[in-house]
Amino acid sequence: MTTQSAFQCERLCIDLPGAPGVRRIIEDLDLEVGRGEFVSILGGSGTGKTTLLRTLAGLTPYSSGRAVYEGHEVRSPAPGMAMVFQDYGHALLMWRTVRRNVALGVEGRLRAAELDNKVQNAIRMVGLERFKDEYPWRLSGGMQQRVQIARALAMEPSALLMDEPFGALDAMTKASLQDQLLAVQAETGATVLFVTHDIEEAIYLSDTIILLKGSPAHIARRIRVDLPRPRDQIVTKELPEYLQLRHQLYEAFRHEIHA
Amino acid sequence: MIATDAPALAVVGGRGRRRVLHAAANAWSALQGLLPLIALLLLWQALGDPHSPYFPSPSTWATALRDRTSAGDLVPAVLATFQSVAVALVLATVLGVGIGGLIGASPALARCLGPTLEFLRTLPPPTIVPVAALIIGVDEKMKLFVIVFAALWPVLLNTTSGVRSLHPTLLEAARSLHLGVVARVTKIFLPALLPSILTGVRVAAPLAIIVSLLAEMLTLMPGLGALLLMAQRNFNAAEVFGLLSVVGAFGFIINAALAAFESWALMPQGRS
Repeated sequence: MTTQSAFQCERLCIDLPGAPGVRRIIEDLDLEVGRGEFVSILGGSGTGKTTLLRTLAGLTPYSSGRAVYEGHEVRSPAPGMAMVFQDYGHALLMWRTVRRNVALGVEGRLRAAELDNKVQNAIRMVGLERFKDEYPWRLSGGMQQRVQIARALAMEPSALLMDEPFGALDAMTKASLQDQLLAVQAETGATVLFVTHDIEEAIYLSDTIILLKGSPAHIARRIRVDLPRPRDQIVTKELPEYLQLRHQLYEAFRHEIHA
Repeated sequence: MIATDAPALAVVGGRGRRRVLHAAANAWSALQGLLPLIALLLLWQALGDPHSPYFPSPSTWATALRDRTSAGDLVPAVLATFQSVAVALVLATVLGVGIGGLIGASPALARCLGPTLEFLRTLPPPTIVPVAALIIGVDEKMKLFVIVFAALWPVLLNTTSGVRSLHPTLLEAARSLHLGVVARVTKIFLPALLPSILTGVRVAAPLAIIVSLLAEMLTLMPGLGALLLMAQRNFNAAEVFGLLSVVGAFGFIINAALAAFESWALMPQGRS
């Protein structure tokens, strides 16, 4: 892991229009994410996790402060980053086959052979080779989400921004996609920003967990996760360090709930 | 019969046989829908008077149509009407999708153009014919103008509401994949709007046919409408009925073709 940062926020403020007027979602947030780091943004519902991620993805504008990706201020989706939405049903093109969905972000820029190569590789990384000529609406939710992840991977992003990507999936599918994501990250070395409200998911995946709290939200805690990699659904989750982190975070959330 | 059919079916195999049976079932259910009509015509033929000035029996319609065909009137008339309807539908679709898409995407444009379009939309197309004839003159261009004017609205309105109901995630996915404007329109917008657009075209098609016939009747420009009016003026009831069945079949075929195209085009979307 390098010491250079991929993302940087300084006194970042984000306001969103709401029915009663403009509402401040994020206030004076400082954040630094190293290249190749896996950072989870954790918080209760409505704290602004998704808003923060969308701002870093260049989809939601910010009001003041700075949000920087690889030395450039983020104003629109930057080259080198790819976003994975929670709502795979609307993020995929239902009229395109899996392969053509995965090709969407890179086709037209590459020669046919090269394109084919990249697409095949991305599909292999998420294990969907058998379904590459199928339409997404014929696949299960977990497979559809894997198509979306493959589509992001085909762009060979240096940063992968994921908005509760496994939030709508059942526990078994979720666990298998978590392992797949860890394998993909180990293979590509991409920086990952991962929004979730699932404490155990955050611990299992991350190098660093950022706990958002309050309204407007700020970073309440920044927790380093030094669990050994590669991680394992059974072994890792039985380590005393894992259990201690879990305890710590549930405590933090308990206070959040009673606040 | 059975002896010759059996080997053929054996060659095409299980899947082919199922397809043949399926097609036969489809044909039968379509035929069932036509049964009352066929029964009515047969009854009319059996009980009707072939010399009646008002309700001549169906066999006389066929004779009248055969006369028109051998006179060289019918086929060119059908083709003229079909050409106007087809060209106008294509123009109405292009215009409707273009304008409707822009209005759907821009609330400011919707506010600017809304009242004007609402006014134009409520004008009955037949009332446009005299105005268009005055301004453009009685020619093919005028006919096209009037048909497009009538057929435009369903496509336009469907496209507008289609754009408005596009899911924000789809558009954001396109943005975050760094697609340019052209790629966004051709790869995201148009395919996503296809169901709305095709619904609009299917509503527009009968309107286009109606207005095309009407313009032909009012201006006596070549087409089925003019032929129908001439037959009426000549008190040729058999020919009127005959032409009426041609018009019915004409509309039926265009509709069926559009429906088939729609279900073919939407197959990959899983919506047909």
